[in-house]
Amino acid sequence: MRLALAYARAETIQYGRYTPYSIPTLALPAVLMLVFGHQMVEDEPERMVAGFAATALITVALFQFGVGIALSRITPWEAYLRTLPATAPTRIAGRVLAALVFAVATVVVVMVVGAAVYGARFAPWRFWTLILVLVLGSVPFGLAGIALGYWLPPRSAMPIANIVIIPVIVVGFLWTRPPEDFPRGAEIASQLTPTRSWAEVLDSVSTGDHPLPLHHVAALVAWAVVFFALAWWGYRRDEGEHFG
Amino acid sequence: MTAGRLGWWTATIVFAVMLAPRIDPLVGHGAAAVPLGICAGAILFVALARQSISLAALATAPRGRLLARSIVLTIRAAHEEAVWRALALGFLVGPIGRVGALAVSTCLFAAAHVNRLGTRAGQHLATGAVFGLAYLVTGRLGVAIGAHATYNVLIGAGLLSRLDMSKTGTSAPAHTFVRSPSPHRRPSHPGVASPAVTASVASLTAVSKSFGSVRALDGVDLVLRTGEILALLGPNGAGKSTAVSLLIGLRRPDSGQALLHGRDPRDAEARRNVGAVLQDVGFPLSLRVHEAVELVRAHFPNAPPAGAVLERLGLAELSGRVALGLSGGQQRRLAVALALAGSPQTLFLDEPTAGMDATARRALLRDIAIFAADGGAVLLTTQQLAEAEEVASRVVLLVRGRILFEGTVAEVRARAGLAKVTVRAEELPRLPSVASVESSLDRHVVYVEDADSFVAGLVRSGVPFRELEVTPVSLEDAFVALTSEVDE
Repeated sequence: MRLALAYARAETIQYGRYTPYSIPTLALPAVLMLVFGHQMVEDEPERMVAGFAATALITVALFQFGVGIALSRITPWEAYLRTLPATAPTRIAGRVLAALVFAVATVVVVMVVGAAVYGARFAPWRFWTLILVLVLGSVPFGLAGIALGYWLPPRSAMPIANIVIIPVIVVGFLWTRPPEDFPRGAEIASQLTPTRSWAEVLDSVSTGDHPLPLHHVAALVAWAVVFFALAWWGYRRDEGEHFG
Repeated sequence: MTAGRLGWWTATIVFAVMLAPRIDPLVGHGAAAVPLGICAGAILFVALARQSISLAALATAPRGRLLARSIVLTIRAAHEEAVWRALALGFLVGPIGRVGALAVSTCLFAAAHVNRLGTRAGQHLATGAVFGLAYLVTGRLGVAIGAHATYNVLIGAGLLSRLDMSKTGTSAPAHTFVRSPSPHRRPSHPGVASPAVTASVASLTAVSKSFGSVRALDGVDLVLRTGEILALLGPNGAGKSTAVSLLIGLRRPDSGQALLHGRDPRDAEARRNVGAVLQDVGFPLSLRVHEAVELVRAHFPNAPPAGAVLERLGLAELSGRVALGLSGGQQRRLAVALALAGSPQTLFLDEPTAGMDATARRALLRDIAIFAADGGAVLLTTQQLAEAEEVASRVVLLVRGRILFEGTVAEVRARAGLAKVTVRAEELPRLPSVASVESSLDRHVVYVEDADSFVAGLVRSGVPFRELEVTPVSLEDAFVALTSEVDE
């Protein structure tokens, strides 16, 4: 654990000092919310803020993990780190912790903007539950990002992450509610995505309209297990640059 | 095997039996299925572990020990079934159905094992799925426990029958699930006299590795022993860096076996007392020197203070600088500092002196010598014979992925420290210090150990000659000369 913290610390320093990464990451979800939010705000700014906060977390997961890992995998520094006696779970835990730092920062920005611009108001206990659900719910996405990072070829990681992120958000209805006349087949497909599971849980927590959908919670746990296995496997099979 | 652990296992079993929800069996006759579960465990063992149990060896094993081990493994199996089947699967059946519960609990089970027992995720998934299915179908935990315990006991017996009991008895129980990746098997090196087995720190046995169509290593045998400095000498592209990357677990061999401190180098545990400098040195954006050192020190509980390491390599006043902003030579010194930061027992240095100035180079070579004198083992790759000569106690010549020669520095010097003499003469007399001769018509290319005495001898012999030319031989040419000699 001490070692995971040391990795988290080093990584936070690296990304934090690298402003071309840190500033867009912090600002992007809030900007997206300012641009698209007013069409979706309806009478539920709380639901919308939760959705964009989740978007912020997915952005961090896909870019800091997915792209960051894929690019660093082929660097001499990463090769050196692999000669050190750290296990795959330690490295992954370190990355998760580092991402958590950025995730919390982006979520705070989104929440402040949401409260200031759209008047989102949360009861204190609901606020803290929402934070908890956001943090826990981001775990499977963080692990998915790590898995992508170790499985994607380094040079195509960025375009693939860009291609993946938008449909995953749209199909999962993180920003909007599914329309009334949504086709049944598409609805089933949507229900099966991890983003939809998260959206349903956030919906319940942020508005309090429905009871907590337990099957979606279980689905998120299952996704976390699957992505952890993939991430761990990816780390173990990785040999840095693949020749030939 | 502590009593505490046994107690904890028993407690979880009691706890699970009291709390776990009952599962409606899909078939009746649950109790009668217990023998079926035992059969399932045996079949799983045969199908997955593919491990032979030597009955003869088992017969000589102490009965009491065998029995005790079996009981412990049975309790352990019951504990795991209580946790993963009765509790995890049992509570999941309600919210997500039987299939979902089976899938999730199996994945959790495998994830919990994978970390501890090596890499066989598929094996853990398969065993977990079978045990879970047995529980779901019969609704009796006893069936799953029967299967699991049988599997465990068979593997335990298999291990016992193969291992030297007096030495490995304490470590054996940890490996109940995996076919042991044979950390205990000793590498056999035909032709290499291995003195005490404990002296081998790292080894490659019949290792080959290709990148695409390029064969980087081809059937290489290599042993690094304690207290020695082994220089891996060879020209560009000889496979030196590949050999290092296999020995520290950056890559895995296509065939053959790499061992580091008796384990697979890809296991973190094998690298606990190892320091390395890779050929390509680089640092991440914006990490400062002392931050890099702190990160590395965090891996080693007994690491010396960061300041001492930086001081030793003359980097103390640079500790606040961004590592990537240092000069090439300074970065290389920092890489050496990082390799030493954990006070390792074994050092891998892949061309550590490239790009260093003469002072830094000499200081490093001296440090390496001191390190080995204290009982550490060093594997050093270099293209320069002079460098190997300065520090190495043993030299291995690697050319085009094969080991050409292995011996002391003096022996290599005698063979590879050559000069090349080109001369035209009708016939060449027999002369001293000739390593090899290539002749076409009247033109002779002679590799000699001592050019002066060769030329003096040529003049003294009175044979008419012309176009005499003496050139120092690059290491690569020396290797070529050596190859042709070895081939004869």
